[in-house]
Amino acid sequence: MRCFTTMEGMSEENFPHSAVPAHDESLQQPVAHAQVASQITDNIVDAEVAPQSQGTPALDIRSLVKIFDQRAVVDGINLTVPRGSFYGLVGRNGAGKTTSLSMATGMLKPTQGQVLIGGADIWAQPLDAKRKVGVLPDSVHLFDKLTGEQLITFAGRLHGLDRQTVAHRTRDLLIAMDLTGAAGQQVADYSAGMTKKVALACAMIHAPQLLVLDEPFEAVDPVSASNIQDILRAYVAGGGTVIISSHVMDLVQRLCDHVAIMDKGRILASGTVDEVRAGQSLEERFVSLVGGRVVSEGISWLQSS
Amino acid sequence: MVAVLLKLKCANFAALFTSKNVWVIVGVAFGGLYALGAAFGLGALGLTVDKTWSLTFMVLFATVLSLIWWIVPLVAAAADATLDPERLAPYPLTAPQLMGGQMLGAFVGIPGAVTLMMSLAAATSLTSTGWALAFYPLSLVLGLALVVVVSRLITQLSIPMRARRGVTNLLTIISFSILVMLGPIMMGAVTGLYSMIDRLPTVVSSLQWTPFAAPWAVAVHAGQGHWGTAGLLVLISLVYLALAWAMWRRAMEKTMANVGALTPHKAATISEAGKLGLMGLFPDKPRWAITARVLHMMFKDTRCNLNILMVPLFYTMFIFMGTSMPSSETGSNIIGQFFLTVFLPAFAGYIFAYLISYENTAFSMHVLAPLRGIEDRLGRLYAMLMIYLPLLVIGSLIYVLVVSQQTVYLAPIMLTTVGVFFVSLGVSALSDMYFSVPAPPPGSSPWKTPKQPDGFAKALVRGLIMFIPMVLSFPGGAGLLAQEITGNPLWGWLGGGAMLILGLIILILGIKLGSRRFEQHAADALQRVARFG
Repeated sequence: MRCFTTMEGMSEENFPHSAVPAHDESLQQPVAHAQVASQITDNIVDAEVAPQSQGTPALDIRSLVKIFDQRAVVDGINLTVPRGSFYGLVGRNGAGKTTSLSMATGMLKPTQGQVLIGGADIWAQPLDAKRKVGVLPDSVHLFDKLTGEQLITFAGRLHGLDRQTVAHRTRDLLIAMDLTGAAGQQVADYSAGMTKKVALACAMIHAPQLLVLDEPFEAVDPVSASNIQDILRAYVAGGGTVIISSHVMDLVQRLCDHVAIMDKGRILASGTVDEVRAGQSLEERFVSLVGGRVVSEGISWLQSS
Repeated sequence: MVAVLLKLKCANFAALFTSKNVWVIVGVAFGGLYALGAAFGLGALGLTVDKTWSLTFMVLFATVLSLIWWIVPLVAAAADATLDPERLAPYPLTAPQLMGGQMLGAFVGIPGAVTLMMSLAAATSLTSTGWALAFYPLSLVLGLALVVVVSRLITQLSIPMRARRGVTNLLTIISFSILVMLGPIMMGAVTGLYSMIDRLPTVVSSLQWTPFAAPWAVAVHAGQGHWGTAGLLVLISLVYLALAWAMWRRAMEKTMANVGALTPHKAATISEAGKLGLMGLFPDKPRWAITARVLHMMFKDTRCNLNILMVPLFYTMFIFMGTSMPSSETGSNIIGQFFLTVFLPAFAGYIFAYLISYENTAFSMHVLAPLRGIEDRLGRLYAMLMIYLPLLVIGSLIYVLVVSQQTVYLAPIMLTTVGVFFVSLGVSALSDMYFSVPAPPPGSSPWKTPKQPDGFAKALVRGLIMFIPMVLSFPGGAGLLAQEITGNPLWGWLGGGAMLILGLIILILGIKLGSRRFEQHAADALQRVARFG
């Protein structure tokens, strides 16, 4: 099942149409890329969205709080991720992005607040909610004594998919991630980029409506990153919703249609990329909102004479 | 520069005590007391040694000390990497500076302190003459320098060898087996020494010229007025030291010039695509996928397969001990009996509680999936049963048949063993949702001491969990005892049967309650194991 949801506020300009930085590309390009995208989509799993849940947001975070050692790491955030959007969550290191996403996906219990995934509460109805979401957590171990193929198969079986479906989807995912050559190799021997890709495949095998990806491009080489971006664009074009966390502003501005800026456990701004950046570049806007720039004349003794 | 390195090492060691956790200090204090006790024991033994045996005592002490310092790095070299050349590569250091730092740094920390303490305690064997004591400091300095320099040389030379994964695994398994068998080996060594006590002086007189003991023999000979021998020993010790230093320096310079080249590289093990391993064999329910995955981990991960190896090793050890001892010494048989029918199955079941700790954050895959608690618990249970049940059944069968040769005890012992195993599995299936056992994180050496983020107090509570299955082994034990006293096998059968039923009840209960707890608290378990590093 494939459905396109209208994405409010989405302009031609920030529609992510290429893997390469594409500010100066002409407007004819999206058509050609849409074809490429649809070819890729045919290879991978489409998002399965039940008709009755199409009206609800893909992810709805309501006054979420996490307190560690009497310090609010996440301080009452609200975030609505519309269905079919490509959402970026940006912030400095330690802003609370990973903590928020961990709570949103059932990995960390919130101190307070509610998270709905496609209308299902992740903590009250975990089984319903978890069926709808695929997650790529940041810096977790994988079962790396398994081969790539075994790991993806394991993820599929864990979701209760039957043997044939898992075998079929695993093959498609290995092709889409360009991992066919390494399918029989232990994940322990994979490079950082390959590890991200196999983890992403694991997150996608049950055809979730929502993908939550924490730092998906960190330590990934440019070619793999472009390939992953293509896959994600195709997934969104096929009706899926993606939320990524990142601290690379250019990437988010290029890739996402929505963005939320997070700092010190709070969300400072959220909405479509155009609304948030308000005429500036996302990076300029981010720095002016978050602050913390140090005006420096340089370190005198560091000048090599 | 050597001073800077030494300070770094000291600061690293001191950080152990300045940590907020009081229990770390308590642990170190207990370890220190233990070492102090051992040193006192050695000192007391030294006092009983008279002039004729002092050379033998000193040479044997030095040989054991050297062996420990020279063999341990082969296995546990990765344990302390504070002054590792790989880590210090970005700084402009020369090889001698680094070597000086490493050599002196060896005495900072617990192994170094224990070595110093033991060496000082050994001096008690020399108290019969003043000259011996006067020369002991020379022996001490030369001896300790030689021990450490050769130890570092061996560490350095073994890097390329240890870089091969297969070699590391083999070394780990061999040394683990030695560690388990340490009791019988020591017994063998002691009886061996006693039987050759007449020839011992001959052995010692040649051993004293080797790097194992040469510097340490100096003081003894000086004390006995053999000035020529003592002088020659000093000379040869200096030659050994110079030689070892030169070789170490060459190895060190080579390592420093090739930084990064010798870090353990991963030999890619490629199996063909389409090979699903055990997942291809089992049904496609989530629980069976978990069983397959746990089995893969237990057999392929060195951290885990030591836990499997342990069971046959212990059976072998007690069968060996049981058959080699005269049958009049039933005392050791009862200890063996208790160990094999109560402790070993309890321990085997407790491995269930280690599984999530070994998985570390990879466990997130279970938490993120729409997984029922029962699927997780049963998946792990099946894997545990597949590995340990055959080992325990066959092990106890062979033990009874070979050692006691009384088939009337066969059924009661096997029933009790399996019953205790079930109790322990049931207890672990629930307890790991409350406490997590610290384990070294994936990819690290099985010898690495795992972090104890909860401190010593919780470690004690976890230790107590192990006692539950031992206490609950009462019906089986009582039945066996009654059979032994009355000679009526009915008691053994009754006790064994009761044990099996109790085991089944606790297993079912543990799995059910553990499943329920999993559904609400799997995320907490994930957060706990994530803190192990």
